Amino acid sequence: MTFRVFAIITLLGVLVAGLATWRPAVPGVRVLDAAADDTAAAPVRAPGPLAMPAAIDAALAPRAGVAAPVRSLHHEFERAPDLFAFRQRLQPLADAGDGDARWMLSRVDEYCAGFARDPVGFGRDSVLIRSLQLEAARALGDARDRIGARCGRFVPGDASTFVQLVEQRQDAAEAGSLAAEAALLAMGVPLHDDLEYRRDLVGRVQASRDPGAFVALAPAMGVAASGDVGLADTVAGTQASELAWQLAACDLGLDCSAQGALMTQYCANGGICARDGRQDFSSFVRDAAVPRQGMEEIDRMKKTLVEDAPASRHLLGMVTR
Amino acid sequence: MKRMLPRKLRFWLWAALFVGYSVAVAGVVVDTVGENYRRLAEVAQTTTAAPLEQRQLGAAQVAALYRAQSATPFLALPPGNTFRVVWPDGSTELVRIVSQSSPHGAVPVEGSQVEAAPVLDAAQAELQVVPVTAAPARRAAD
Repeated sequence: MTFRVFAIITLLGVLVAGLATWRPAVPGVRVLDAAADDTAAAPVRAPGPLAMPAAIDAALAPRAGVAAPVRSLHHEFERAPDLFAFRQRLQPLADAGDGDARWMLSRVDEYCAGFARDPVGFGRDSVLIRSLQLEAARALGDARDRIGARCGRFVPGDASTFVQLVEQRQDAAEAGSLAAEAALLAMGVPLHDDLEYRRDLVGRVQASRDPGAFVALAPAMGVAASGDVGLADTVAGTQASELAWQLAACDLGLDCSAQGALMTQYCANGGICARDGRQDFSSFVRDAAVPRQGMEEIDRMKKTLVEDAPASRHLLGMVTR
Repeated sequence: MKRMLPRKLRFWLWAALFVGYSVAVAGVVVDTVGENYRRLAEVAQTTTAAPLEQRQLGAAQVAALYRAQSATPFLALPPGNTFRVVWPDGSTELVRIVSQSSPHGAVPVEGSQVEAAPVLDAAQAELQVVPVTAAPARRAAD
């Protein structure tokens, strides 16, 4: 009797362990027509538009303030149909030492790197992924197509490596870009690696209310910050806190639409795609990331980030004085 | 205790305990030897001997396809998790997820690399124990 019981338990265990490690087969791989794909995604730089849209010129015009031009550049990055042309227009500003232009250059380079490394391979992979029976195959294919269309004039020589992105962002941060400084912390290579600096940087990002800096900092405030005593009393340390920083960025004006860079990169780089192509990041997170109780917690964290920023407290102090 | 719990209930309690343990210890292994992963541009030529950048990009793409198969993609391979990737040549390594949205979001764990087993004659084969550590690795710029 005892032997039978243990045999059944063992059988059950093996069955469940097998189920836990089993992945559904992904049949239906098409034989690709290399010639056709080569034509579709040839790494030859097409002639660009002779003049940029007026909106981009306006974005790159001399600046009066600080926060507004950063947002304007970010807005143009999100809207530009041809990121190579946008990059060309940013380059003189970056060369002249503009930190925000340098940061935006690194954003463009990061966004387009996957395509630029191997335009033909990128196109082939997109066709392959579309043909797989995955939950998110269509959305993933759409996100990659969006990148392919906006980065279509990039060639392998333009592809930035991780080290080059770090260098670009160090230059941008030293020229005054807070978002670049935040991104360096998220990449694991902060400008300074001490507790006080990290704490100060998080405070500065929160006070800036710059959505670009918020979203750049977000990965550093997730699981990567777990156990960091310097960030113990901030919104940090869990996947939920990373999402809270990103949702706060959406509230502060980041383009979190289905076509925006945040959702495109989550989908194309991470395979995390909304099944409903019209969903924005906020409703997608509510739908797919966490249960309802978890969402309430994320909303509380987001509120803390947006409403309790040091600058907001400062302003409140001025009003009540 | 034995009197309090009927025999059947005891059986199911033990079964639940064992099953729960089995699920908890089962790790994720993504085998890129499979037809679909192997054809991906970032994966096709990647081995544990490839440059770090190439392995990072390949592993991130493998993780992305893994998540794309999931109905709960945020919870599949979240930041902080590790998984073992088996490259098309059979070499393997552990990879730690540092971001779900970055193309560099998967970082190979130093010291976890296991080369592909060479094809040997049975007479030449010998047993080799390869120690594998899973110490957390900070991402470095190089």
